[in-house]
Amino acid sequence: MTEPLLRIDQLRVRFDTPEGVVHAVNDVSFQVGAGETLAIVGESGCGKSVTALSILRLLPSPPARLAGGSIRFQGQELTSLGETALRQLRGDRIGMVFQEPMTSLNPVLTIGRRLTEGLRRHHGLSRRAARERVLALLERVQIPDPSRRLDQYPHELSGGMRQRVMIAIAVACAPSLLIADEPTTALDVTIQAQVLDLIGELCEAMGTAVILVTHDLGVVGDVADRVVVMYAGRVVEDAAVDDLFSRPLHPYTQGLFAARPNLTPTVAGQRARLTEIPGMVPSLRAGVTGCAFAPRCRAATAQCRAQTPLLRPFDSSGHAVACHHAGGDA
Amino acid sequence: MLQDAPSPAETVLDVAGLAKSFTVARSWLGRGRKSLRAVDGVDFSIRRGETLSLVGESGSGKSTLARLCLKLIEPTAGRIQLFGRSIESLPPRAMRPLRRNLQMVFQDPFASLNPRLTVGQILGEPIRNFRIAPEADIAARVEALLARVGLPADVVSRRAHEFSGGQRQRIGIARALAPEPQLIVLDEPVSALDVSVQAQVLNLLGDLQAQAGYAYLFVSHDLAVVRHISHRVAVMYLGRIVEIGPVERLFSAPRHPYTEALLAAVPDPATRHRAGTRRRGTGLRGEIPSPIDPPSGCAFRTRCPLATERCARERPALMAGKDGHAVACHVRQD
Repeated sequence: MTEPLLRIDQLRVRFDTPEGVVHAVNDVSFQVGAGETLAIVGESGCGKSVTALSILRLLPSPPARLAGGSIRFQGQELTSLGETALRQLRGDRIGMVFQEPMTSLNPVLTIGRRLTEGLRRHHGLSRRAARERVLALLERVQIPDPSRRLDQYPHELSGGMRQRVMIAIAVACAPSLLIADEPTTALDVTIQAQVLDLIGELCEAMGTAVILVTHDLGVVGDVADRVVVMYAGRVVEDAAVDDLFSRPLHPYTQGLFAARPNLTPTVAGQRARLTEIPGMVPSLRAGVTGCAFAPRCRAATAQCRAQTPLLRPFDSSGHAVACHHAGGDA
Repeated sequence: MLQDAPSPAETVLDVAGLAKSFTVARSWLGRGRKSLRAVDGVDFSIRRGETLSLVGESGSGKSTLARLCLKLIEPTAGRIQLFGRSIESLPPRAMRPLRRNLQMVFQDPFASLNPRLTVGQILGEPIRNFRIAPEADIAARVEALLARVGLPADVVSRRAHEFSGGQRQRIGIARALAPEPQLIVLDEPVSALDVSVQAQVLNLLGDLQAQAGYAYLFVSHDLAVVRHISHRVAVMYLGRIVEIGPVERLFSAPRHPYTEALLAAVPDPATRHRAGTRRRGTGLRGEIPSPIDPPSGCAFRTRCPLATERCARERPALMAGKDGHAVACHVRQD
């Protein structure tokens, strides 16, 4: 089997806080193939953003600490890479888009200045050449009146426009991988649809793979090829998007689908109660014994409380699940 | 949530021609002041036991409208009737005893609870202020409130920061229930919550309404949540209601092109899975225009695929159709 674009193995991230060590990411493994869109989905605190940010070492350290595991990108180990070499990757072969475009754009730099920075640094372009490339980029991300935008500051743009600028920056150097951390969470649905379309079109055209971090299963269904579901710092399910939607195996994944109100109710004319997932996400301060979802799981047994289930292949389609009882077997 | 909208019963709130303008300075020198019409002539009513949702993009005026209904801000024009009594021009002193009927639950349960107060103090305050119960009964009242929102009685001595987001929202709901209101305005009450906790809070809101017949004015940008919780839905665009109607009709047969576009933009696992294909490029082009300089005629015409020359000239009125389904669109109401 050929080496995937990105391969994460047994990744562990800890946060050293005054109140104790937070086990934010625990033995997370997954792969991203070239040109593939992988969604990492889960609720607040499940470790999805921490995992994504760890790839380019973007977490403040301390408190964050890589406690084990490997991240290989295009055959190169990133965990042992020096800061200078890593900076060469950021914004060049790996682009990033964040949730809040206002805080991730420098408020005192014009859009033009911010956009030309990467091109001049990574590709050694002259000021004029960079400006021309940037104009073309802004046109590509469908920003109206791009030459005027170049001289504007971030606060003069709407949220949707700012996210378009972030995308323009992220794809300026035609990266092999784009990491998008909740890119549309702060946007209205109509603008969200535009931004997701834009990311999809650009990445398809460039053959760029995408890691999309999101809490929204609707977004996952719209854009992902494959999905990794995380809970309490672990991957609980990994599947092709159609497999996950037609046959979610982990009780937590099933719970997420059932808890979400649908635009098209299954029973016409009748609004049933939503299926709640009782309780709440466990604290990751102490290491969790057994399955972290067991306290909220209807099917939990003594085995679940004693022994942490490992992610294992469920069938030959590549659908994997971390549950002792998935699919009804013991 | 299990029963349908009540039959023509008590109207709790009725607003007509409601408008709110804000004065905005165009330059930082303060010259050339212009006004921004955040809410521009809105009519609707809410009955006992009914949930009316307000939906629309940021800047549509839905939150301003919700605040107007509570008289948290004063309207520029229009009438607000609470149980048939006009309250739009009541001075604060006369308004005060009526306020117990109008309560609010906020979006951010982290910002809307005083971190210095215990849960007992947060819930006891409105009971005391509105003289709902004698001092001796307050503790029992607080305990009953906690039970109603599904929190154990022993949380009374704890402070807000000790709770998760979902539990804080339960406290926020309990506080709104404390003065035994008739109308509760919920401004994005589950937007900050995770899906699993969101389901708990939505179910709680439904149960409480079924028990006590509260009227809800529910402000949300999440159309799946709105579909689940509402009896009726009003779609707002640039300060006006462009479509209003019973939830099933509005979602299954939307008439305004803006409502259609909003619904098409929602990524929905159910529809996706049935279609089996990726929906792309069906959404709206462009963004909501500035309310300082709104388009002439129909405000939506700049983004509307159906816009005609008449739409630029003439503003469409909200025309009632059958079944209380009304739409403001020249193309679709003929």
